[in-house]
Amino acid sequence: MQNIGFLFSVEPALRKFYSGPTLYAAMKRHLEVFNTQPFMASFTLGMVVRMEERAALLPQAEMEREWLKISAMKKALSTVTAAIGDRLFWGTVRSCGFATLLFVWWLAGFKFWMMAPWSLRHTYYSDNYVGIVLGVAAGLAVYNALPVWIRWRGISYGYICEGNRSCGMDYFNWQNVIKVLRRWGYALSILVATLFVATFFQEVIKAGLNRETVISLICVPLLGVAALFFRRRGISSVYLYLTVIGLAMLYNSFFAEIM
Amino acid sequence: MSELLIFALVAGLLELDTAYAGQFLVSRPVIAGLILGFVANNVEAGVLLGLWFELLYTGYVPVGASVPPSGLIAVAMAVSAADIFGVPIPVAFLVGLFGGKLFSFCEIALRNMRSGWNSKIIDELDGHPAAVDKWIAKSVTLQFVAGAGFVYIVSAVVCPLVWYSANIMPAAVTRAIETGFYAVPWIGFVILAASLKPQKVKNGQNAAN
Repeated sequence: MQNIGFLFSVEPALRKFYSGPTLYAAMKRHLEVFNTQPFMASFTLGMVVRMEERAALLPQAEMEREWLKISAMKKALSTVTAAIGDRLFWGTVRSCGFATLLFVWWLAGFKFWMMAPWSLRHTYYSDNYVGIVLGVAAGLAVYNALPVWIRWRGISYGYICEGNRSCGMDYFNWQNVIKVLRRWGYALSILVATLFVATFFQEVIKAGLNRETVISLICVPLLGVAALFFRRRGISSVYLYLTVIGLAMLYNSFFAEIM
Repeated sequence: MSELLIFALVAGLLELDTAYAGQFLVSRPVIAGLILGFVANNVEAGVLLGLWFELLYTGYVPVGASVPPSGLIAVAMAVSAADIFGVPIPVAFLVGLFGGKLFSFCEIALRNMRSGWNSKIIDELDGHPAAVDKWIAKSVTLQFVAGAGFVYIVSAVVCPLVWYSANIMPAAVTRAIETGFYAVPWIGFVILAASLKPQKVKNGQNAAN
């Protein structure tokens, strides 16, 4: 699915190395199936450019053998980089960026989203636009710092490896990076969740015990347990949200009047 | 309707950031919600809806050929329902949820269509290397039109009906939808923390996943 994007990226280099029918043949070769994590595709791009550069200087028979090698190396590297990239960027960096954004919002005083339902229902307003922008800037910085750096340096790492070594995979201790980022992201997410819970209890104390606050105090831990249960079973959180609506509808229809 | 058109065009542009141009993650619901809220002149509702969708969709990972619900389209539909059509925010959230899921089916259809372009591109390449640029432009334009068109058409058709329904629906239903809405951050924070929790493998070494 990313094949045409890959071809679009290597086309300027192919035009330098080949011309005429050989150029068109090279372009068609790079329309083969290609799919990897987008930020990590730069390693494959750099490697392919270097291998094509060398192949273009070879006699015809050796050139065609080199093309087969390029295709095999491209598939292999795209698989490896996809596995690493999905865990690193989609599974870790994205969530870390989000946790950072929330934490900076809290630090900057942009907290209306933390209010309990009975307060939030009446207040969808905040004039802390500086806080909003700071949080978003921090989140975007975390979201993009590593991806942009990898997208830039990955090309040169891939180019240097020439398809002979691990093509940039050993320039980074990927496992360590993922571990460190996860620990930081986990700590931040626990901190933000704790602040959210603390704000909730503050609001409960302020509002006093009434039907809504008591029901909230009972349902909140149940909701947390249910979310964990759904996650462990691989069931989407959307279904939990819809389940809550269904249960609330049952309660409102049959029990609310009794109570 | 001109406000909805401008809104839809911005949503269409942001949709390109998901996987077609840039990928600087401004299409994430929490960021896009802020931008779309600014366009619709209600930043707070945009931020709240964007944040809520980000929390609910935290567990979705776009791995390989899987197509999760579109967070960007979901937040665009929700913000347009809330700010342009005056739908209550918890109901607008539900509208966005279904809109995001519906767009994922459109996305699958678009990807299948683009897969069929391969043979045409191969045929056109002989003697015309600029064919690649043409097909890239076509692909990006198609995605922009699909995103903007979806938001515009579905919002224009569905949101007035939802607004009318929200005014006549029983109080039990309205309260239930509100309850679901306020449950989202609790669900989302648990999922966020659980998704980042370092896990140990059986041989005692820490593993990232």
